[in-house]
Amino acid sequence: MRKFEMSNSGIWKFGIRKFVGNRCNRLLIVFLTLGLLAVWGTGARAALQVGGYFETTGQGMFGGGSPSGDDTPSYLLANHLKLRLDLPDYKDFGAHAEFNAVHLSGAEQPGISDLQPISIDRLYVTYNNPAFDLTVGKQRFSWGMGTAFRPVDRFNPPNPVDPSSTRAGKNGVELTVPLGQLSSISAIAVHDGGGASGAGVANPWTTGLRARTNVGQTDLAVSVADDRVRDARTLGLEAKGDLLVGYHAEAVYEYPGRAFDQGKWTYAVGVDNSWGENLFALVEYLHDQSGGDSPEKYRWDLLGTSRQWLGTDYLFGALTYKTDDYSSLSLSVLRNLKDEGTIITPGFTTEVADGVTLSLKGILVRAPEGSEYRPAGPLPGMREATVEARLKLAF
Amino acid sequence: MWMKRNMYMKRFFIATIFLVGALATGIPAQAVTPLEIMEKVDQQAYIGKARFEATLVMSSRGRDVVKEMVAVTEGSSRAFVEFTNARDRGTKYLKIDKELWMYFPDAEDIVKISGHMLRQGMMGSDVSYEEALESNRLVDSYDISLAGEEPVNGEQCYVLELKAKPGKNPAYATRKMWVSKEKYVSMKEQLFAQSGKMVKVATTEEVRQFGGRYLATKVVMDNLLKKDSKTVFIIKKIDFNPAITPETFSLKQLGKH
Repeated sequence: MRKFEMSNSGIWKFGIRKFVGNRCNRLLIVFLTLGLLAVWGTGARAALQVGGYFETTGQGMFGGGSPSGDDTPSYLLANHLKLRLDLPDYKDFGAHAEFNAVHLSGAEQPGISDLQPISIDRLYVTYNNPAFDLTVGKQRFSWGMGTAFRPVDRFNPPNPVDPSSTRAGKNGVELTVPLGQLSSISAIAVHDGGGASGAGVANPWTTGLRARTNVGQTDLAVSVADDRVRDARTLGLEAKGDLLVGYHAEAVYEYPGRAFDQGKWTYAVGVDNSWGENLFALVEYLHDQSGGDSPEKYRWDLLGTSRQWLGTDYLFGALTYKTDDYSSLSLSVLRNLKDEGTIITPGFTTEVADGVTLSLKGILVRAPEGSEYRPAGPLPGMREATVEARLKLAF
Repeated sequence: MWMKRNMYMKRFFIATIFLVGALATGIPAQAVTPLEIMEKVDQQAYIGKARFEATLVMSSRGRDVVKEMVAVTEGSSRAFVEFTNARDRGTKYLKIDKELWMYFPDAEDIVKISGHMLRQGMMGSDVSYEEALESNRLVDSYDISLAGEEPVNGEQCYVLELKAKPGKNPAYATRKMWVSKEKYVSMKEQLFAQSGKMVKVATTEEVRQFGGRYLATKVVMDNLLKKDSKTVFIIKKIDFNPAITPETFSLKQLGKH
């Protein structure tokens, strides 16, 4: 893991050189430049929308779990500028780009200190007409209806530890054909050659088909996917509706392949409800037949690719209480029911001025040594306690 | 038929709601029954389709949050709303019958709103999704009586009292409504919970004439359950004959990048 011990200017030079040195990024830059040149002399220039945010995050980390084995308290300071460029609907064409510039100082932290100083989250063009929508480029693909667990999503699954975090974009193509107001069929092809999971794979593509509709006030979807990176083929089912409380369910059957010699089911079910106008609760349960029922059987090589967990059974709960029109308290709990590791995340968010948000968050890890959230050896884990303050200015 | 009835609540968020509820043509005042008054309000409030640009100002604890939106509505059951102010740009709502879907650009995902969430305030306003989506005509849900006549903002008004009919479960147990005798626009409405407590007051501050119709173009909703909290809805521009395609009210349009 890279450490940030160089000077500020060194970080930027290093980041830019590394960014430009990547062949995929060079292609994206050429792609973006050509796109800008193409629209600059047209009416689309006037329609260009610019937005984004600047965010400063301070983290203090305490207790065990450091990759270096050093349990002394450490800190991390991150400044993050996100710039969004959007060109909506110009003669059936559209384009969207999101850039990140991140400046870090302080200790290394898995998932944060390995961020690229300069990166592109999204860079895609769209073509829309009544018959179909086509999106090509680095984008987010969204399958599934759950919050923390989306087993049907093989492209950008959420991170159960922080389900609302921005999903990484993937290079690919999506073609959607509408079949009525609430029905459609989507075809997706995602190239994972630039990621760690796809490195060295001859055909690092994941392709899929998903049909979505609404029957009896219930959203339904069925999907199939062919993941050449993992040599896995899946069938997925999804539903979201109301039965006294809100519910959603999704299930995936993975056919035998290189990863597993027997078919495996993974399913997630969740319910949500609210009381009055201020209190909201969500509970989700996940069961994964292909997960390990003990830490020795965990497939660490699969983590972060098409899945965000290692075990077989999980429970996620989230509670949000709106204290007034601008502020809310939150508490989420993620528990691996087999190795008994738990992550507790209390939080407070307030809008201090229009467009300015202050968030305070704690991440408490209570897990036995060697478990998923506190792995043994050099595997990346989380410190026992993390305290985070985040100030975000949207523009 | 949600657009036909609920005068004030609907007007607020999904533009459809606001417009429709507020629209009324000039009808000569004459001796009419309470039911006839309400039916005229409902009839005149209904429009086939419309596209409008509006501003929503939400005030709480001395701070104002301003949101801009464009809304398209067709009939009484379809509405599409898109927010255009910088902070909420790309946030969209699709309503078809009694179901609601949302698209948040940050999440890049279409989300079907659970039934219980319909009781929450839309985008932090003082109008809930449920109020916005209320479909029953007021004349169907309430027994209506005439309580007298009073002026409101210089308009001579009928004062109507609405009480929920047995077996009906509208958003509010009772309402008191001041309807302009000249324009058949609701100039003021008080909304009461089952306990009898007044929870919201809607006041029309501006009425403009569009052809033969009168439209409430500025409505203030005071939420009495929250201290110093109110929502102001202002219609800036309206087109009664917009181009609408089958795609306008669809998940395809909602999720369009």
